[in-house]
Amino acid sequence: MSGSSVLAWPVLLLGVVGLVASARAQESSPVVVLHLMVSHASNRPGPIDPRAAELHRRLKNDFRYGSLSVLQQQLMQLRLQEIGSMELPTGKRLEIRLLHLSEGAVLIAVQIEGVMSMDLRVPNHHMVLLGGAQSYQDGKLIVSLQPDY
Amino acid sequence: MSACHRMEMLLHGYRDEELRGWHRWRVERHLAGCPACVRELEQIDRIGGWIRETAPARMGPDLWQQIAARLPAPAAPIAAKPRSSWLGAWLAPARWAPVVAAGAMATFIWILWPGAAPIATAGVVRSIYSNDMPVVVLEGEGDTTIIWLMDDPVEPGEHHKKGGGDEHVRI
Repeated sequence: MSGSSVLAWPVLLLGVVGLVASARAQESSPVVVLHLMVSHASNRPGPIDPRAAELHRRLKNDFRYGSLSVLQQQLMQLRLQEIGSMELPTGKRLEIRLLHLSEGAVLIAVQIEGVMSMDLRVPNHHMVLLGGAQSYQDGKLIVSLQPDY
Repeated sequence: MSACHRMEMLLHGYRDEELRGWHRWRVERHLAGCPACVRELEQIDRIGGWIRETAPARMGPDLWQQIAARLPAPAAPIAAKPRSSWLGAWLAPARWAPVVAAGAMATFIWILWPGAAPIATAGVVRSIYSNDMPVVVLEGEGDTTIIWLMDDPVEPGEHHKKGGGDEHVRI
Protein backbone atom coordinates (compact mmCIF):
# COMPACT_ATOMS: atom_id res chain seq x y z
CA MET A 1 0.00 0.00 0.00
CA SER A 2 1.48 3.35 -0.99
CA GLY A 3 2.00 6.17 1.52
CA SER A 4 -0.62 8.38 -0.10
CA SER A 5 -3.38 5.76 0.17
CA VAL A 6 -2.50 5.18 3.82
CA LEU A 7 -3.10 8.90 4.43
CA ALA A 8 -6.22 9.02 2.27
CA TRP A 9 -8.26 6.56 4.34
CA PRO A 10 -8.24 8.53 7.61
CA VAL A 11 -9.05 11.71 5.71
CA LEU A 12 -11.95 9.99 3.96
CA LEU A 13 -13.16 8.56 7.27
CA LEU A 14 -13.03 11.98 8.90
CA GLY A 15 -14.98 13.41 5.98
CA VAL A 16 -17.71 10.78 6.35
CA VAL A 17 -17.88 11.36 10.11
CA GLY A 18 -18.16 15.10 9.49
CA LEU A 19 -20.97 14.63 7.01
CA VAL A 20 -22.88 12.35 9.36
CA ALA A 21 -22.41 14.80 12.26
CA SER A 22 -23.58 17.67 10.09
CA ALA A 23 -26.65 15.74 8.99
CA ARG A 24 -27.44 14.79 12.60
CA ALA A 25 -27.04 18.42 13.70
CA GLN A 26 -29.48 19.47 10.98
CA GLU A 27 -31.92 16.78 12.04
CA SER A 28 -31.64 17.76 15.70
CA SER A 29 -32.37 21.44 15.04
CA PRO A 30 -35.89 22.20 16.19
CA VAL A 31 -38.77 22.18 13.75
CA VAL A 32 -41.13 25.11 13.58
CA VAL A 33 -44.59 24.43 12.26
CA LEU A 34 -46.17 27.33 10.42
CA HIS A 35 -49.91 27.32 9.90
CA LEU A 36 -50.54 29.09 6.62
CA MET A 37 -53.92 30.04 5.30
CA VAL A 38 -54.84 32.04 2.22
CA SER A 39 -58.25 33.65 2.41
CA HIS A 40 -60.27 35.84 0.11
CA ALA A 41 -62.14 38.86 1.47
CA SER A 42 -64.71 40.17 -0.93
CA ASN A 43 -67.22 43.02 -1.07
CA ARG A 44 -69.80 40.65 -2.43
CA PRO A 45 -72.23 39.56 0.27
CA GLY A 46 -71.81 35.93 1.17
CA PRO A 47 -70.96 33.55 3.95
CA ILE A 48 -68.01 33.54 6.31
CA ASP A 49 -66.14 30.30 5.72
CA PRO A 50 -66.22 28.31 8.99
CA ARG A 51 -62.49 27.63 8.57
CA ALA A 52 -61.95 31.40 8.60
CA ALA A 53 -63.98 31.98 11.76
CA GLU A 54 -60.89 32.78 13.80
CA LEU A 55 -59.58 35.09 11.09
CA HIS A 56 -62.96 36.82 10.92
CA ARG A 57 -62.90 37.36 14.69
CA ARG A 58 -59.53 39.09 14.38
CA LEU A 59 -60.41 41.16 11.29
CA LYS A 60 -63.97 42.24 11.79
CA ASN A 61 -63.21 45.27 13.94
CA ASP A 62 -60.69 46.74 11.50
CA PHE A 63 -62.14 45.78 8.12
CA ARG A 64 -65.52 45.34 6.57
CA TYR A 65 -66.21 42.85 3.85
CA GLY A 66 -69.16 40.97 2.52
CA SER A 67 -67.75 37.47 2.54
CA LEU A 68 -64.66 35.60 3.61
CA SER A 69 -63.58 32.30 2.16
CA VAL A 70 -60.54 30.08 2.61
CA LEU A 71 -58.73 29.25 -0.61
CA GLN A 72 -55.67 27.39 0.63
CA GLN A 73 -54.37 25.90 3.86
CA GLN A 74 -50.94 24.47 4.45
CA LEU A 75 -48.83 23.27 7.34
CA MET A 76 -45.22 24.15 6.67
CA GLN A 77 -42.55 22.45 8.77
CA LEU A 78 -39.26 24.29 8.67
CA ARG A 79 -35.87 23.85 10.29
CA LEU A 80 -33.39 26.67 10.65
CA GLN A 81 -32.38 28.16 7.30
CA GLU A 82 -34.85 25.99 5.48
CA ILE A 83 -37.04 27.67 2.87
CA GLY A 84 -40.66 26.76 2.40
CA SER A 85 -42.80 28.00 -0.41
CA MET A 86 -46.32 27.91 -1.69
CA GLU A 87 -48.00 29.28 -4.78
CA LEU A 88 -50.73 31.83 -4.17
CA PRO A 89 -53.94 31.83 -6.23
CA THR A 90 -52.58 34.84 -8.13
CA GLY A 91 -49.65 32.74 -9.34
CA LYS A 92 -47.16 34.60 -7.18
CA ARG A 93 -44.89 32.54 -4.97
CA LEU A 94 -44.78 32.99 -1.22
CA GLU A 95 -41.45 32.00 0.33
CA ILE A 96 -40.64 31.73 4.00
CA ARG A 97 -37.21 31.17 5.49
CA LEU A 98 -36.62 30.36 9.13
CA LEU A 99 -33.70 32.52 10.28
CA HIS A 100 -33.50 32.20 14.02
CA LEU A 101 -35.38 30.58 16.84
CA SER A 102 -35.30 31.76 20.41
CA GLU A 103 -37.44 30.95 23.41
CA GLY A 104 -39.65 33.95 22.86
CA ALA A 105 -40.05 34.15 19.12
CA VAL A 106 -39.08 32.91 15.73
CA LEU A 107 -37.33 35.18 13.22
CA ILE A 108 -38.55 34.54 9.69
CA ALA A 109 -38.01 36.14 6.31
CA VAL A 110 -41.18 36.31 4.23
CA GLN A 111 -41.29 37.17 0.58
CA ILE A 112 -44.16 37.48 -1.85
CA GLU A 113 -42.59 37.31 -5.25
CA GLY A 114 -42.28 40.76 -6.80
CA VAL A 115 -44.55 42.37 -4.21
CA MET A 116 -42.93 42.64 -0.83
CA SER A 117 -40.41 41.10 1.50
CA MET A 118 -40.05 41.42 5.23
CA ASP A 119 -38.35 40.10 8.32
CA LEU A 120 -40.71 39.22 11.12
CA ARG A 121 -40.04 38.24 14.71
CA VAL A 122 -43.14 36.31 15.57
CA PRO A 123 -43.92 35.06 19.08
CA ASN A 124 -45.24 31.54 19.34
CA HIS A 125 -48.92 31.31 18.31
CA HIS A 126 -49.00 35.00 17.34
CA MET A 127 -50.93 35.47 14.11
CA VAL A 128 -49.56 37.67 11.32
CA LEU A 129 -51.92 38.73 8.54
CA LEU A 130 -50.58 39.96 5.22
CA GLY A 131 -53.17 41.65 3.09
CA GLY A 132 -53.84 44.19 0.44
CA ALA A 133 -50.90 43.22 -1.69
CA GLN A 134 -52.80 40.77 -3.77
CA SER A 135 -55.94 41.76 -5.64
CA TYR A 136 -57.84 38.66 -6.58
CA GLN A 137 -61.14 38.48 -8.40
CA ASP A 138 -63.41 41.05 -6.70
CA GLY A 139 -61.50 41.25 -3.45
CA LYS A 140 -58.22 40.89 -1.65
CA LEU A 141 -56.14 37.96 -0.61
CA ILE A 142 -55.20 37.70 3.03
CA VAL A 143 -52.36 35.41 3.99
CA SER A 144 -52.26 34.40 7.63
CA LEU A 145 -49.31 32.72 9.25
CA GLN A 146 -48.97 31.44 12.77
CA PRO A 147 -45.94 29.62 14.19
CA ASP A 148 -46.27 26.67 16.51
CA TYR A 149 -43.20 25.17 18.14
CA MET B 1 -23.04 28.57 5.54
CA SER B 2 -20.05 30.65 6.66
CA ALA B 3 -19.51 31.73 10.26
CA CYS B 4 -19.85 35.37 9.19
CA HIS B 5 -23.20 34.69 7.55
CA ARG B 6 -24.45 33.03 10.73
CA MET B 7 -23.17 35.96 12.78
CA GLU B 8 -24.84 38.46 10.47
CA MET B 9 -28.21 37.13 11.57
CA LEU B 10 -27.29 37.38 15.23
CA LEU B 11 -25.75 40.86 15.07
CA HIS B 12 -29.08 42.69 15.18
CA GLY B 13 -30.10 40.79 18.28
CA TYR B 14 -26.68 41.37 19.79
CA ARG B 15 -26.90 45.08 19.06
CA ASP B 16 -30.37 45.22 20.66
CA GLU B 17 -29.00 43.33 23.67
CA GLU B 18 -31.44 40.51 23.10
CA LEU B 19 -28.83 37.75 23.14
CA ARG B 20 -27.93 36.00 26.33
CA GLY B 21 -25.44 33.40 27.49
CA TRP B 22 -24.04 31.14 24.83
CA HIS B 23 -25.28 33.15 21.84
CA ARG B 24 -23.86 36.39 23.21
CA TRP B 25 -20.54 34.75 24.01
CA ARG B 26 -20.35 33.26 20.50
CA VAL B 27 -20.93 36.66 18.87
CA GLU B 28 -18.37 38.39 21.08
CA ARG B 29 -15.79 35.73 20.41
CA HIS B 30 -16.40 35.99 16.67
CA LEU B 31 -16.25 39.80 16.72
CA ALA B 32 -12.89 39.64 18.47
CA GLY B 33 -11.38 38.02 15.39
CA CYS B 34 -13.48 39.27 12.49
CA PRO B 35 -13.04 42.86 11.28
CA ALA B 36 -15.77 42.40 8.65
CA CYS B 37 -18.41 41.62 11.25
CA VAL B 38 -17.17 44.48 13.45
CA ARG B 39 -17.74 46.80 10.47
CA GLU B 40 -21.19 45.28 9.96
CA LEU B 41 -22.04 45.95 13.61
CA GLU B 42 -20.78 49.53 13.29
CA GLN B 43 -23.00 49.99 10.27
CA ILE B 44 -26.02 48.73 12.22
CA ASP B 45 -25.12 51.23 14.96
CA ARG B 46 -24.84 54.04 12.41
CA ILE B 47 -28.28 53.30 11.00
CA GLY B 48 -29.74 53.36 14.52
CA GLY B 49 -28.01 56.69 15.17
CA TRP B 50 -29.29 58.10 11.93
CA ILE B 51 -32.84 57.17 12.86
CA ARG B 52 -32.45 58.87 16.23
CA GLU B 53 -31.04 62.02 14.62
CA THR B 54 -33.71 62.32 11.95
CA ALA B 55 -36.68 61.45 14.16
CA PRO B 56 -38.39 64.76 14.94
CA ALA B 57 -39.51 64.02 18.46
CA ARG B 58 -40.35 61.21 20.78
CA MET B 59 -43.87 60.11 20.09
CA GLY B 60 -46.37 59.86 22.85
CA PRO B 61 -49.55 57.89 23.12
CA ASP B 62 -51.55 60.90 21.87
CA LEU B 63 -49.82 60.85 18.49
CA TRP B 64 -52.90 59.68 16.67
CA GLN B 65 -55.08 62.41 18.20
CA GLN B 66 -52.52 64.99 17.03
CA ILE B 67 -52.55 63.60 13.50
CA ALA B 68 -56.33 63.31 13.42
CA ALA B 69 -56.72 66.91 14.62
CA ARG B 70 -54.66 68.17 11.68
CA LEU B 71 -56.54 66.24 9.02
CA PRO B 72 -59.05 68.26 6.99
CA ALA B 73 -62.66 67.69 7.88
CA PRO B 74 -64.69 65.84 5.24
CA ALA B 75 -66.68 68.13 2.91
CA ALA B 76 -69.92 66.36 3.71
CA PRO B 77 -71.01 63.64 6.04
CA ILE B 78 -70.43 60.24 4.58
CA ALA B 79 -73.72 58.86 3.44
CA ALA B 80 -74.76 55.48 4.62
CA LYS B 81 -73.40 52.93 2.23
CA PRO B 82 -74.23 49.31 1.77
CA ARG B 83 -71.97 47.13 3.81
CA SER B 84 -70.62 45.47 0.70
CA SER B 85 -68.80 48.62 -0.42
CA TRP B 86 -66.96 49.15 2.83
CA LEU B 87 -63.88 47.18 1.99
CA GLY B 88 -63.51 49.30 -1.13
CA ALA B 89 -64.11 52.54 0.75
CA TRP B 90 -61.58 51.58 3.40
CA LEU B 91 -59.03 50.86 0.76
CA ALA B 92 -59.59 53.96 -1.41
CA PRO B 93 -56.05 55.28 -1.52
CA ALA B 94 -56.85 58.97 -2.00
CA ARG B 95 -59.05 59.10 1.04
CA TRP B 96 -56.47 57.43 3.19
CA ALA B 97 -53.28 58.75 1.64
CA PRO B 98 -52.52 61.28 4.43
CA VAL B 99 -53.36 58.78 7.12
CA VAL B 100 -51.31 56.09 5.46
CA ALA B 101 -48.33 58.37 5.04
CA ALA B 102 -48.49 59.46 8.67
CA GLY B 103 -49.10 55.92 9.86
CA ALA B 104 -46.28 54.51 7.80
CA MET B 105 -43.88 57.15 9.11
CA ALA B 106 -44.98 56.57 12.68
CA THR B 107 -44.69 52.80 12.27
CA PHE B 108 -41.25 53.14 10.72
CA ILE B 109 -40.03 55.24 13.60
CA TRP B 110 -41.70 53.07 16.22
CA ILE B 111 -40.08 49.99 14.76
CA LEU B 112 -36.58 51.34 14.37
CA TRP B 113 -36.32 53.65 17.32
CA PRO B 114 -34.55 51.72 20.06
CA GLY B 115 -35.98 53.87 22.84
CA ALA B 116 -39.59 53.64 21.73
CA ALA B 117 -42.17 52.23 24.08
CA PRO B 118 -42.63 48.52 23.44
CA ILE B 119 -45.69 47.63 21.43
CA ALA B 120 -46.51 44.29 19.92
CA THR B 121 -46.18 45.34 16.27
CA ALA B 122 -42.76 46.87 16.86
CA GLY B 123 -41.65 43.51 18.16
CA VAL B 124 -43.05 41.57 15.21
CA VAL B 125 -42.12 43.62 12.17
CA ARG B 126 -38.36 44.00 11.91
CA SER B 127 -38.17 45.30 8.38
CA ILE B 128 -40.39 45.63 5.31
CA TYR B 129 -39.52 46.22 1.69
CA SER B 130 -42.61 46.93 -0.38
CA ASN B 131 -41.39 48.43 -3.66
CA ASP B 132 -42.19 51.94 -2.40
CA MET B 133 -45.84 51.06 -1.81
CA PRO B 134 -47.26 52.39 1.47
CA VAL B 135 -47.67 49.82 4.19
CA VAL B 136 -49.85 50.01 7.28
CA VAL B 137 -49.07 47.88 10.31
CA LEU B 138 -51.92 47.40 12.77
CA GLU B 139 -52.38 45.58 16.00
CA GLY B 140 -55.47 43.54 15.38
CA GLU B 141 -57.89 41.85 17.68
CA GLY B 142 -56.16 39.56 20.16
CA ASP B 143 -52.69 38.35 19.45
CA THR B 144 -52.56 39.57 15.88
CA THR B 145 -50.42 41.81 13.69
CA ILE B 146 -51.95 43.02 10.43
CA ILE B 147 -49.63 44.15 7.64
CA TRP B 148 -51.62 45.85 4.91
CA LEU B 149 -50.07 46.94 1.61
CA MET B 150 -52.02 49.80 0.05
CA ASP B 151 -52.75 50.22 -3.64
CA ASP B 152 -50.84 52.65 -5.83
CA PRO B 153 -50.26 56.00 -4.17
CA VAL B 154 -52.42 58.77 -5.60
CA GLU B 155 -51.03 62.10 -6.73
CA PRO B 156 -52.26 65.11 -4.75
CA GLY B 157 -55.52 66.39 -6.22
CA GLU B 158 -56.25 63.27 -8.20
CA HIS B 159 -59.02 62.31 -5.85
CA HIS B 160 -60.84 65.55 -6.53
CA LYS B 161 -60.23 65.52 -10.27
CA LYS B 162 -61.78 62.12 -10.63
CA GLY B 163 -64.78 63.17 -8.63
CA GLY B 164 -63.74 61.34 -5.53
CA GLY B 165 -65.23 58.00 -5.02
CA ASP B 166 -64.77 54.36 -5.30
CA GLU B 167 -63.57 54.40 -8.89
CA HIS B 168 -60.03 54.34 -7.51
CA VAL B 169 -60.59 51.11 -5.80
CA ARG B 170 -58.96 48.17 -7.45
CA ILE B 171 -60.32 45.25 -5.62
